[in-house]
Amino acid sequence: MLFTDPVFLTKFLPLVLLGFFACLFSKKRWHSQVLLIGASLIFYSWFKSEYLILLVGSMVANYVLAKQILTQPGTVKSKRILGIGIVANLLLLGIYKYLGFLTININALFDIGLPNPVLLLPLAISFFTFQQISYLCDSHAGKMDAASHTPLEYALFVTFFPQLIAGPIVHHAEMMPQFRTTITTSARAIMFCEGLCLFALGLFKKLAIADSVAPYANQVFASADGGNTLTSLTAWGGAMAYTFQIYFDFSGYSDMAIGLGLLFAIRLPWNFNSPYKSENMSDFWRRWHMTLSRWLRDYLYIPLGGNRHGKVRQYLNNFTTMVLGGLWHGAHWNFIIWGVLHGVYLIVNQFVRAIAKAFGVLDVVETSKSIRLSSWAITFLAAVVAWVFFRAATTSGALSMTQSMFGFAADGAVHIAADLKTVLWGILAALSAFLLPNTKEISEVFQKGLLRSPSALLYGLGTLSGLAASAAFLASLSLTQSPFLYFNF
Amino acid sequence: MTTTTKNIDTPKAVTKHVGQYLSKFLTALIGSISLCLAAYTTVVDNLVQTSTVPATYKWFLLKNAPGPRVIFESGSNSHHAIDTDTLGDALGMTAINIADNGGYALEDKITRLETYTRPGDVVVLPLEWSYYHREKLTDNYVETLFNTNRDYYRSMPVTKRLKRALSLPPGNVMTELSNRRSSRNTPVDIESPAKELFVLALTQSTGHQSQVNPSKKGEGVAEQSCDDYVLGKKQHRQSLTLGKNIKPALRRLQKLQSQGIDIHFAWPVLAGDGCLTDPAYVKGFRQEIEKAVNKAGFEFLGTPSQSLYSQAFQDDTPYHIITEATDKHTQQMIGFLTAKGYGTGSSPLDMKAFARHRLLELELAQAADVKQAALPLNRTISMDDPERSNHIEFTAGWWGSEPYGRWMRDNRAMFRVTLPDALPANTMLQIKGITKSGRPEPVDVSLNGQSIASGLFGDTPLLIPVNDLPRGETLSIFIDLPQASPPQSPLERGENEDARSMTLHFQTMELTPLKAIRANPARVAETVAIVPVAQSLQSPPQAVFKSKVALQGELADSGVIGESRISIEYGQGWWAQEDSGRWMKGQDADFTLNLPEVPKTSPQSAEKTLKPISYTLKLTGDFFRSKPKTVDVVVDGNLAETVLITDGTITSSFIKSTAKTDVQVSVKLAEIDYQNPQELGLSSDDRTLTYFLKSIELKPT
Repeated sequence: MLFTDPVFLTKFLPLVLLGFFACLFSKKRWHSQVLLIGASLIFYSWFKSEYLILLVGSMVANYVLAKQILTQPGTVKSKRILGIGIVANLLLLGIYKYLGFLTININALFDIGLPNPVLLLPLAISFFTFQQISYLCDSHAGKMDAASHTPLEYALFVTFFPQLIAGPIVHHAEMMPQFRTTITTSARAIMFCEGLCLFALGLFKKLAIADSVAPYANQVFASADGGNTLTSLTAWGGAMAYTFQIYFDFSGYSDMAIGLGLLFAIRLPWNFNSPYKSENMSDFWRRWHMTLSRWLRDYLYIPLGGNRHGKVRQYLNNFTTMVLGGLWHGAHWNFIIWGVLHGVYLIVNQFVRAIAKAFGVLDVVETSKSIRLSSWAITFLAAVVAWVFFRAATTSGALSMTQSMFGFAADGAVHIAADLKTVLWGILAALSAFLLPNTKEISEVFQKGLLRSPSALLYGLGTLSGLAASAAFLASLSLTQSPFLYFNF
Repeated sequence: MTTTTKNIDTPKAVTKHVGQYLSKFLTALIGSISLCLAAYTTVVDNLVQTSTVPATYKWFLLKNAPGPRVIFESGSNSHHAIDTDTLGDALGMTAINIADNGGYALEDKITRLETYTRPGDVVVLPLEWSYYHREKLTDNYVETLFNTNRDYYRSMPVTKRLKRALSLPPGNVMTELSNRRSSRNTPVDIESPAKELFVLALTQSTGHQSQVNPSKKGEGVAEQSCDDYVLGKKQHRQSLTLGKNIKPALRRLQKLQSQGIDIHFAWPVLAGDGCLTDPAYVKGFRQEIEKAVNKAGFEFLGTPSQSLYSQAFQDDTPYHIITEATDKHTQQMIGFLTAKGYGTGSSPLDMKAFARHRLLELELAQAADVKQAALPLNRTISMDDPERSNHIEFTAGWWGSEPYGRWMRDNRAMFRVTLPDALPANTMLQIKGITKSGRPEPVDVSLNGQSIASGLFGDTPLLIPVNDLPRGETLSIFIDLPQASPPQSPLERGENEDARSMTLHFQTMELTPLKAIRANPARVAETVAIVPVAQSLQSPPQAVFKSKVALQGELADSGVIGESRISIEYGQGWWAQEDSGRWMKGQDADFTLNLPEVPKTSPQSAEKTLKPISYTLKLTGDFFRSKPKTVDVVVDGNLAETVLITDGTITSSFIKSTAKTDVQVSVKLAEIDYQNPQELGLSSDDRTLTYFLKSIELKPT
């Protein structure tokens, strides 16, 4: 069941909402929590019921481990349990996500003919594994209140269906307190309006924009992966199309997830903040898939030493974090190359800033309009080039495309023309990504504006939501729809 | 479980008016959604064409063919596989084949059955396999819904139409909008909109078509196996399951059946190697289909293997079979239906004849108000004149425009013109052209059911007096060929591939005074028709053929026949006038000689006071094949005394004893063969001919 699935929109969501609001009358908080956990498990099993047991098993095991850790947080024993927990979680992830990749590469290197395990990747395993690792880590670090470690709240923290499948990767510290907060009816109503607005905008981003440019991106990458050499224009066109597709697809999904959370009075963390407006790569990673960046920072980069051991170590930590971040997205050399590219980008960015600082021109670099514009352009184009590796199904296809993009296309290169619809949507996507306020900013306007002219704001946002929902609905009628991209990760 | 009373950050001002705020947001949300969707459905609704004339012949059959009928509904497999002509003849029922394309929506096919079937109809559904699992609309269907498939949309009730409009992708809607915009300045041919359907009425009158020989053998299959083509690659078809739309569709069919319409399912034909070899759908999917269909109370006629033919019978795709297989499959279907008790033993409707007339009626019903410029005076408008369409609209019964004119497709047609406010006396609408038969054809011209002229068209132009007709308003002028038999196309006659039937070919029209026609000798020769006129009895009473204006009603005032006061009016049994005479159709024919000046002995009682006069009547001409043994000539009801037959001359004598100005003559040729030149291989003329009358001589003896 996708958020865009009619069954979800017309049956599942209204029923769960009705049940949820009915539970509010009971005054027993656990009623609504049980309802939401049940609904989330149904939502998950809708895709593949076989993996429900994996999710539940992982959840139970981690809960028990966390409970053990919380009895003596920070001790050697708890550290041992934490180690077991992390290994177990990574092993589960490794078996399902990386074993096949590992086998193929070992066989290729040593030609020992290991049987290739064909395992279907359980949906959302990367997301719920990371969330639970962070829970275990924070339990050991003493950041958790043992009294608040209840099975229902833990289950809801892991499974809450708006964020279960593709994030945002939530942190217990921002989620679990909300489960205990009493919210007034009026506040709930406002959150409900805001949620509907975000959901509608997310629908529009996914169905109208992302899905409109997706066919061209698919066509170009399929051609490159098929062994064709593309013209420079085609290669750039395809890469640009994918650049906007993945942003509007994933940020649209995240907006919908946040919007859905608000319908249940749960505020999920923001995941995007106009990443294509970034003026350097560090800034990009503060704006792109923010919850993953946060997780990688808190549970990988900082434990690796962060910037506490000198510049070289900092660069190495950044590089390692980005490579592992790339690998998190999937078991393929292309994701590793994508991570490597972003690791290099970050090092170059930090190196240049360090030089500018050393020469005392950092202020000039940060304030000069022309330098800022150039930085923005370089950052954006660097991201576009990296997306080629992220998207291509084969490494040779990605390399061929990047060669074409940089003018090394051979004679007889294939040109694939984009139709007018794709071009127009591409232009709209670019204008929207570069110039318009993002949903986070709209949401902030919503909250602040309520104090000044609430009526006008509510009418305005209602209309905006209506227009977005209508456009999304009409776009969903397209005969070619693509699933959410981050469902693959 | 911990419970706190801490509130999230919420402005106090808002909390007071939560109901109002929520209602404002939701009002704006729902209002804008409603407006957007209403605007979208309105755009779609306006983009889908509207016409009384269906866009396809199959739609024409479904909407118009009178019942009870046997209706074959599915995709193209049945279009080729069921010969509804043969099936209708065998069952003695009207059978129509409305199967069109397997990519069209099942829901909409059922809607059209709900709308246009009637109690007593029998519906057979040899649906393609894909119908049982496909849920989405196909590109092909969506793209054509605005024009060639408009009837699917237009036949829906409002709620279904709204639903369908809201299922059309905006990309297709935008494309259609853009097409409309770009073709805005392109002239649209709205004249005689059923002309394409008329060809199909002549060639595929009950909707079926199959190729005698494979046209593009296997072209549609490319390099796929038959099973791949029918249900996709192996991996895909192994996981096939019934579409979510099947159960609702079956429920709707059950309701239809309860209204007195018999419904049967059948398996689609397949031809080719590698068809129905994968047990995944031959057994698994088939069982699922049968289970659902049987559960709904329907049954299949036959089995999938009974609809399977070898590679030799495949046309361009496995779903398309050639005629030899069609014949077998049709016979099998006749067997299935006969076993079910269908068949009346009577004759089915002559669909070709029905369609020819009904299509004209639809064109007439479709005729919208036209704003046209009045015909200019004294200007010849040729049919290929770019200005023509401003003055003349060929509304119904015509083929499309050709470089030199426009063919009338049958024995009746209508065009529309507007007369200028001011017209000189004796103004004629002069129409020039040719006939398909190559001989002049008698033509009746009428307006609002009132005859306004009649005469011959062909070698000589048709003249329509217009002074008494309304001015400044659009006139719907009907042309009828009262004596013509249903026209045949060159294809039917085996002459060439042109499947159009044709009668008259209009080439020019001109609004001009009669005296202008006469003033130009060359034009007079062109604009008169030849009819026989007897000379005055005072002069030697030899009837000779003289020139006379074709329009009988105008004779008295025309003065054209100043020197000849005797004329002939042909009655029954004659073909149309030709250059040098007129053919008798069979054994009997009659004519009337008008003698305006008969000597009177008393002005009070002309009837009683005429002195009896003996006349000799001599008919000169040629017999077509053989001379008759005897000829009877009856004058004013009395058998002529002596009749002599020498070569082509028939001589008789009679006595006239009244002062009546007309002499009624009947001629009967006894024991004569009458055949047509076509049967004898002489020409394509299919008229029966006996005697060609060239002149009449009337002499007192």
